[in-house]
Amino acid sequence: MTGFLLRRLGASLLVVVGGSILVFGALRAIPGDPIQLMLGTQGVTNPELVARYTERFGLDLPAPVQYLYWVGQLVRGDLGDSIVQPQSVGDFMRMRAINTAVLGATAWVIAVLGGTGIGVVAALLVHRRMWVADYALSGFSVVMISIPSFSLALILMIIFGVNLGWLPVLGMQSVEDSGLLDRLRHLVLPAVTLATVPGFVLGRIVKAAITDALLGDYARTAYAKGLSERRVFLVHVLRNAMVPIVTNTGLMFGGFLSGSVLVEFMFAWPGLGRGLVNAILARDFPIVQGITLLILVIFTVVNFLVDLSYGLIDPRIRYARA
Amino acid sequence: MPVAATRAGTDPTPGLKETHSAEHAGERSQNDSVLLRVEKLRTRFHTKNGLVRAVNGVSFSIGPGEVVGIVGESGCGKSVTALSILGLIRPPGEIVSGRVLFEGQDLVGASSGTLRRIRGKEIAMIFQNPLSSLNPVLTIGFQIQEAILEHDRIGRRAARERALDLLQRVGIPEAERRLHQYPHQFSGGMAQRAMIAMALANRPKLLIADEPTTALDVTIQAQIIRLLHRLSGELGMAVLFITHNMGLVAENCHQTLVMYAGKIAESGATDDLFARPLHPYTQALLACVPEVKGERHDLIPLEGFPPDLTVESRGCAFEPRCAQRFDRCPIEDPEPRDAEPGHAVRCHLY
Repeated sequence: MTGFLLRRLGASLLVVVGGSILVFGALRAIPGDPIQLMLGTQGVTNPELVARYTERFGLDLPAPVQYLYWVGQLVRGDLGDSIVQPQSVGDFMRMRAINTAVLGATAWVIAVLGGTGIGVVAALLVHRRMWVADYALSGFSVVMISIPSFSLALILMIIFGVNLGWLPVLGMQSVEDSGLLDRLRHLVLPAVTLATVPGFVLGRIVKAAITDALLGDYARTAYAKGLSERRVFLVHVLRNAMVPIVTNTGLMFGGFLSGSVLVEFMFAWPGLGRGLVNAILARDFPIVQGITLLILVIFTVVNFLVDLSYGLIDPRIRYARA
Repeated sequence: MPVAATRAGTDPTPGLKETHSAEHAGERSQNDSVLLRVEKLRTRFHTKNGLVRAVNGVSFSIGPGEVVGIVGESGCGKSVTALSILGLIRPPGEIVSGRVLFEGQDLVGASSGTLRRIRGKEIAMIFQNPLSSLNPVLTIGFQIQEAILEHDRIGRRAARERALDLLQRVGIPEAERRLHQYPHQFSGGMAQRAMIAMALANRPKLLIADEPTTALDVTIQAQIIRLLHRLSGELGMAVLFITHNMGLVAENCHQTLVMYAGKIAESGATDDLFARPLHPYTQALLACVPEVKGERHDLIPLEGFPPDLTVESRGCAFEPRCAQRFDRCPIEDPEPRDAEPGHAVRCHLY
């Protein structure tokens, strides 16, 4: 088990380092200079100013040197300063990360509960051979999976925000009222929008996993023991169906925590995703690097936890690692 | 007897026939000693290729403590017969007609509550592939205790004691440790022993063993068969033994049913049936079993394939492969008739 953990940690570290190098290099390879973008016409008329800023952010150095310098800062817990914003990258990310986490965690809960529910219902429809209902639900799922999130955002905004007037459509809170209820009301539409596609995808995975497990020889044995349908399902089938479900929900969690650019953009949610898009447009290298690093770390940690959880679910994996 | 040994044997398994057959063999017609009676059972499957008549009018009965073998090629309907008895046929399959009388109670169309009280309690079942038949994510102990607790109101501790006792009884060494292990830590033979322990948990009156040794290698096969023997004798438990191995049937069963294309081609006391096989199909099956002891003889393979069960034939299902067919065979399906007392055959020759 220790060997497994060490190997797994080493691999995670490689992913983070490799990913950060890739982002670092890509930023410097694409056209567009952050200093010139920031200074605009001022920069065109004043090349000395450009040179001074370029030196101030170390952009005149060779890329590998810049990277090592950045890593050096990182080790001391410093993500550097934003080029465009008058604040450090850490300050820029802090609030936005929390906002994204609130939205992401809410969306995750909705997607996991909704997706599992849909999947279980769909599997039972197959088990009971209710084909019409099964086709209807499958068809509806495909439609929901196929709707781009920006379209869904607009549809939900028009229905629940404009026509019915039930829910606010922009931002995290109202100007005049910033109580908990108000914040929750702001959370509903973006969270539902974000949860929809992954939720229905999860529903299909859950359905397939349960349908498979129900056909297993061990399910037949369970029936032959005289167990009730409910017990066969809850004790014998569900646990076997857990591995693909946990994989999917885990990876989904990573995706949500690292923010959804489109949804945050549509709902004016002040999160990391929107911050990342704006930073890329402005070629604000340190912010892009900081946010992508956080995303990398979140993904590898979640992946690691998902991997560990397999052992809890499936003894075969547990023993293979021992 | 042409089928004396498929097991290369310095160690003849003490057949149940020898141990306690006397009181059952030969008196099949008496109604008082019937545990299970299957009457005109028809089970079919709706598939894309049409209606598969997997079991097409099967009747037989099993007395208390009796060992009955169903033998036949793959796809002849023997496993479907077994599953039908316990009502384990799932869509797209269905039992169309017939009765399965267990101690006089019809299990066809019985409520799920009735079936659940019988499954695992009165009639238990073991399957062909023990490793996939055990749940991979639950310990062996849990799975056996679950079978006990489902039918018996005893405490967890008592159930655990009984599970331990059962494992020891089926010859699993270090039972205490094995209780906490998972199926993947068991070999095929040990897993089948665990399945047997689970099946015996509530001292069933009938054990259905559906090809219990097919997935195991030959030495393990012999051990499992010997174990089933011993337990059947000790517990007075009837066994419906399903296999494609003629040798195993010859050695172990009081009664033998030869199944072909969803019907019983020939049935009778095992000794009679193997001494005087009547149906050309039974004769053909015996002709392709190798002998270890005795004279050398050429093996005669049975040519052709079992018929497509989606097509309802007018005549005898075995006719296309039969060496002794005559003009009546493709036109009329023979009815079973007693060629000798207690020895029935479904063939126009008799």
